[in-house]
Amino acid sequence: VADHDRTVGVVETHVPSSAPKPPSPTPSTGVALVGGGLLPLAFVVAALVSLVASVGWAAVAPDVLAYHHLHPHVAAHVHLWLPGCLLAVCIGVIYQMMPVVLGVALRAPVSVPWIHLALHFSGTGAMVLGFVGARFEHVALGGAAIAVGALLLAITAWRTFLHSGRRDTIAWSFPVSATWLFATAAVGVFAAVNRRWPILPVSPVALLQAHAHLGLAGFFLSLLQGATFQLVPMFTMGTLRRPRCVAAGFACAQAGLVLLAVGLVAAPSWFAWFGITTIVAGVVFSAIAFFATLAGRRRRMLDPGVRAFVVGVALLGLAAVAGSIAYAAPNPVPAVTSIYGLLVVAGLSASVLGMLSKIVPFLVWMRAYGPRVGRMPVPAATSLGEPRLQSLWLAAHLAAFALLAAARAVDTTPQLAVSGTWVLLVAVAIFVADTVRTLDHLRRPRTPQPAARPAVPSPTATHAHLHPKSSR
Amino acid sequence: MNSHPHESDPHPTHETTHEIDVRGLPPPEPLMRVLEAVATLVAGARLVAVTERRPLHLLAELDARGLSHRCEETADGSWRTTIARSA
Repeated sequence: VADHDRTVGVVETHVPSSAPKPPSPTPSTGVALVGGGLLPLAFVVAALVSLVASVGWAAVAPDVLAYHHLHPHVAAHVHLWLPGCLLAVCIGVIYQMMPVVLGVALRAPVSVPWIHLALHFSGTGAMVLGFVGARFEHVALGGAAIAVGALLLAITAWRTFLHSGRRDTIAWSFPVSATWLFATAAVGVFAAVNRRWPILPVSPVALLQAHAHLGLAGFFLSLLQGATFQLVPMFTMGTLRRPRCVAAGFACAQAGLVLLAVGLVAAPSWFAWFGITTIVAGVVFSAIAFFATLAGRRRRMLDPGVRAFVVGVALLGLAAVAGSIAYAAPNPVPAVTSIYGLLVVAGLSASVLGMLSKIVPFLVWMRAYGPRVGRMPVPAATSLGEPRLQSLWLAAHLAAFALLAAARAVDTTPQLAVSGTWVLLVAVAIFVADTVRTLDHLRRPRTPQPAARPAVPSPTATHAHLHPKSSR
Repeated sequence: MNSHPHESDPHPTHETTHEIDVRGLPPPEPLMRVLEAVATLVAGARLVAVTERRPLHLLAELDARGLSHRCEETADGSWRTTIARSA
């Protein structure tokens, strides 16, 4: 029977009198909702606070996004967006998703993820304030807190991974990306310390490039190359296609990352080039598997969240091209480098926040309504978010980054960048409004009227009709 | 004859086993449908839930409701969870 012909059915059979006794209780592995679902949501809420802080600050000083990409205030914004928001979301998702994917409980005391949460956000705050005041000892201190948190995550991820039996690319992506995250934070701390108290005669720009690329390609790419192939089939009702491409993409990216990191700091430039080429090959392999998996989905219409994820992945592909051009140019062209950075942030934001708009309703529903199912009417998980708001957010998000990129390209007046900043503010406001609306179900669970309840599709709907398979 | 989980067996007995196949539904609908079917399960009866993945969230909820369960992977990669309400 083809997948699309599967039905949801209730089959009634009669058990002979000699039938075995009911199954003995087999405890679940205790992995369903980490921290009762509150831990990942706490990371999400803190991430949104960081995002609002960035756009709120940009609203007060809207020309800041027109500055050179190495300006400390731009660095502060970048760190509010990347570690403050997008990385925080990913960390929360890893803590929740890893034990479910690996089928074993987190191999760490319950307090560890919460300590990580505190370290991550206190560290981000100290780091951002350090950038604002050009106090690099504060940047180093904040970075050290983030690095310690990343180390806790890496240790937890490796212990959990080694305890499980799953060894495919999706499983590998958790500990590997967590390790790159620790390396990223460590290099960032060293860059800040070396800037304040010179220790080694290493170019600060080379260190920053290594720090940025370990984080972007090492953490985010490694995670995307694995977690994507768990989440996208789940939310599009598909199955993983081309698993060998998935594995090849991940392996190429890992090899390329090592070459690139060494090449950027110490080795001749051809070393870095070889690394970039290998990473791009890895991205191509992953893209082949991604679009094959997407093409095989049973849910033809993509939700706004999944659509944002796909758009984000495409923007990251463009970013790879822009990054290669920026690196290949004999003389650095700041506008190209800035556009590369904008494409990275736009693409990562679209993919991470897009997937977040799928994950948050699920977690909120599980916590608020999971225990009520079968006991009282509950709303559908899909009704917790608002698809129109999510579509509007994506449109505003893309428009904002298009304006910011155009501002960097023509660079005549700051007005274009200011317009982009205001559109970005609108986009973030829409996204936050939708997420807060979803989170409000935790505070005030709704009880829908039975007639208005779309929770369970009609028995006559596709995939959902019920039929007896056999009888007495 | 089409039927709904709540309507399939209005007078279930301890000799009845229901099977519900929730493959092909987006999360968390499989959990929702199985728990709704479980709600109609009488003491001694059993429900077999067929899912695409190991239903970890379901198992936790079954534990919370004091229902016994056994989960097995089948040859086609799907999972069969046998749920029983103790007599």
